[in-house]
Amino acid sequence: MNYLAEDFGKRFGILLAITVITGLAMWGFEFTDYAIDINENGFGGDHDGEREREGGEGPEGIGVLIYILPLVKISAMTLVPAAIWVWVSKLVNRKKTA
Amino acid sequence: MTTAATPSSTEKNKSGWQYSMIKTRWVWDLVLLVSFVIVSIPQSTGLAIHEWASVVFVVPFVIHLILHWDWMKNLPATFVQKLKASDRFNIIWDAALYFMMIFVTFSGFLASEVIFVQLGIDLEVLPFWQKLHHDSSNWILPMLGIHLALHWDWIKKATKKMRK
Repeated sequence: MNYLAEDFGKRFGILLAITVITGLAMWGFEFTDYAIDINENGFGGDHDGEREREGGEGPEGIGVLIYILPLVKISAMTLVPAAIWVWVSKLVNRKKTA
Repeated sequence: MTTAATPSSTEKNKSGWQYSMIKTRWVWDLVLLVSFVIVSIPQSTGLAIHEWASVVFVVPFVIHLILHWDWMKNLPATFVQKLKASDRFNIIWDAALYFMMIFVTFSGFLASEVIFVQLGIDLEVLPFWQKLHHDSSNWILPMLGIHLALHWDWIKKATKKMRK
């Protein structure tokens, strides 16, 4: 764990500086025409699902799936690209060595 | 009365994962992955847990970066050297993922509907930040998948070490 403590302040400071600079740059987007348009007209999506959970009720009829479906969604969105990547890179490597 | 540690007990004490760099990285990466899953399912956890867990998530995220600091520190030097295209891509991808993570976190705080209210801070939530948070948090999932795929060999190697 010494490694973690070593230069922690310096490393944390660098990360914090990058994060703050990036955050400030991001704030600039708020003043673009695109952002102004969305703020005026909305984007048609909100956190309905989350709000329903806050109220203690999920969408009607799906019961326990309210807990499983988001997990399935994030697993699929993460693991499918990962699997494709591994598969394609293996194919490429096999062609290179052939 | 003091008990002197015998060499064997000292050795035994130092066999924990925290004494091995690769094992420490593996454990913290696992903590990071589990926290990432928790913060990525607001539909299941509800907004309050999602937002507060996101605050806590910053800790394993920072530790992940610090534990892989040497790799990051060598990026500029190694990038200009003769590297394989895949290594160069890996470097660019990790940097993009880092900035995307900042993007998601920052837009998430500006779209926060619970934390600021609970803290008594009056912050108007703009639809723009909600959209940006929604879109970027969807994009980060395939980006993370490819990040894991790019480091798959290291993950396998570290997992094997953990089993020993």
